[in-house]
Amino acid sequence: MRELIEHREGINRLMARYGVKFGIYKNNEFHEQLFPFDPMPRVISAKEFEFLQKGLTQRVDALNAFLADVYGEKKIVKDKVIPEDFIFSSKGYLPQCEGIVPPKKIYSHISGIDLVQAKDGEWYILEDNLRIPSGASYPMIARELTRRASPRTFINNRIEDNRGYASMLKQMMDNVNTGGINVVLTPGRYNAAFFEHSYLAERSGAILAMPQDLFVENNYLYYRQYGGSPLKVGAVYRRISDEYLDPMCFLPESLIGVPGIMDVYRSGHVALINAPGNGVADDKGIYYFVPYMIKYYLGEDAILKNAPTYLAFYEKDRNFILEHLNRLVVKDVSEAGGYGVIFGSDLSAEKLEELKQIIINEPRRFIAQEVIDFIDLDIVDESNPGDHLVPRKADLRAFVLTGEKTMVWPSGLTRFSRNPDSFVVNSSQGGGFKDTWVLSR
Amino acid sequence: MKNLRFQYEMTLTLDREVRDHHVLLRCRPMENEIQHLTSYACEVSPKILLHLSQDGFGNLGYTGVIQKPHSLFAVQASGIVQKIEGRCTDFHPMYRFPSVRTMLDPGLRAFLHEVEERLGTPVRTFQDVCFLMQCLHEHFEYVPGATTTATTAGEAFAGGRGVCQDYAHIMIALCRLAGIPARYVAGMMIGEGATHAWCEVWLSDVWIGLDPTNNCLAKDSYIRLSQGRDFVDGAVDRGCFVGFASQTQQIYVKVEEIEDNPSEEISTV
Repeated sequence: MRELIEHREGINRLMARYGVKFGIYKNNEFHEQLFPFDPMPRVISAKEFEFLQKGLTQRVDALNAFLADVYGEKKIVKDKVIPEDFIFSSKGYLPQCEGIVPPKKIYSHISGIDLVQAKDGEWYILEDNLRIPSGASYPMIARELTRRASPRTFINNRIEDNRGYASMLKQMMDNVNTGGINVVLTPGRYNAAFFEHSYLAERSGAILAMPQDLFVENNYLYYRQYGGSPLKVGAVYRRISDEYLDPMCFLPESLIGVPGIMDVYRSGHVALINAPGNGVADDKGIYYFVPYMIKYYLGEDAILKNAPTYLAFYEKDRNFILEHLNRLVVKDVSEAGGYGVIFGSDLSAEKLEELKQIIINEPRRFIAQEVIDFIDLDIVDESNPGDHLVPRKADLRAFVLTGEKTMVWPSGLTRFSRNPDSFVVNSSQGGGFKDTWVLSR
Repeated sequence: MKNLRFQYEMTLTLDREVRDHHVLLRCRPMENEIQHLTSYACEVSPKILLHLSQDGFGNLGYTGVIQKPHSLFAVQASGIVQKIEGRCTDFHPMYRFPSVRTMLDPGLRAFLHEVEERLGTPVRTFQDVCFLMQCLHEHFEYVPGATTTATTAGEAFAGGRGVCQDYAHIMIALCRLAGIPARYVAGMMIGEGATHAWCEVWLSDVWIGLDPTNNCLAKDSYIRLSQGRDFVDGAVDRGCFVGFASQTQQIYVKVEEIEDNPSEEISTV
């Protein structure tokens, strides 16, 4: 494995040439950044992967059942398993989606589940991403380039091929396709993940469409071709967030949406991947309830654990949070991407008091978690490349696809913090990534 | 039981030509436990194919696209609504919580507190809610042009002036704050003028219509077109187009009570 170290620079250089970048908006300016790749992979044994697969499949099946229930019968609320507050006042809950039954009743077709492994080997779920989880393209292209740079590595090690993601994606789209072509809908090249949109479209055989390429007529969705008649669209893997998707239904000022697409979707004439409104199932407040959902819908105990979480909404939990704030990590449920995360241990006594007051005033807004001392993975030291390795905090985003069945991609995006003192690994916060190897035996 | 004949006319004038103009029209009265639609006709110009669909709030809407360049869009709807004795019981928990236009602010909180002090109890019963409505009606002044469709309940309340939409938003925000679910209703009422807005509160498992603009119950002189958490959800018309044009909208509504109920066919052109 160490032989990969010498290829670090070469692979990063190639990725820069292929345009493997992500963009971030800072102070209203768009910046494109390279996503630094570290050649030392995270290695997961076949047995461990089997365990993760069981746990992740179970979790995603329960989340899909929950979404169908929220926009349908609402049994889980009537049975008082989850308080109404955490569903109907959630930003991610979209009443516009009430009563819509998506093709094959699948809501979360592509789920990005973030996990960490604690030092004792136990895996914990950090968060669920059921809207537009991004990142699968990075380990895909990194693997491809690494294979080219060091073919021997893949002969000497029995590693599950991760290039199957493209066909998993295609099968998943075909499964819900209502008749017509598959498209990947991108807002355009100034989107943070444009590289990924074009790469996944190309690999899965879908057409990469910009918003102006799609239009609605007689309650069906069409793709405008440069030559020839328009093509009917049966499934849209849309990389445009819910609120911008249809100016006739959500934000009227959206210029990147397709007017009328929600009506077509409601009529069952197109599949949207993932379903709009999924945000209700993946915010940090609802996270607390996922183990209860698993019990409620599947009658099983959760295989994968949540990080120990306290909900400021419940008085008992709130008192606990206020008492132990200095050792907990507090998260604002409405924020994402590593924003709104506060470690109590970083705060002065004065700031702690301030935070306590905010929590007391707006309990619904916060959760608090025990800080999990998760494992470090070795990365090549950037300041002193050569052979020198240094440990850094890393998490894993597993990609779970729901088609006819729910399946876990035998790879994943391993993100690490480049800052030795930080637990925050998000790419928007300057982190890097690794390939994830799942061994085939 | 009352029969109401209505007329709804909307004209959108654009100062430059636009194309690919998508429209959504919620000018067809809803049918529920308190109103029946016995006759209806709707015409639009330029003529386009309209598709009737229902949204997540239970609203019916006609959607369509005018592809060709145009600078005028007009809608004419008319019909007869039969108001009947009944109870609306279609509850949804989303009506418990603040929405975009009904977010809470310190001004609204203070006002509710003041009303509850005067009342001597928290706002709970039908009588309490009526008292709250009366206080709001006295406190807030009807002044067209003081607010826009983007004004929130808090902003309107702080300004002290507004129109029916603002009365409804403030009343909804106050009721939800008091723990009583409330929803926004857009429609028309007996008389001549524009569309109207009021609200409904959920008490003893039934929706009760309240018109805070007129400080009265919204009963059989009112025709419901749409409903939602606030103005945004149930907007009577909505659209988007390609082109740089500024638009002027004119609405004319007329509702009158008629004696008998001629049975006509429901048709859409």
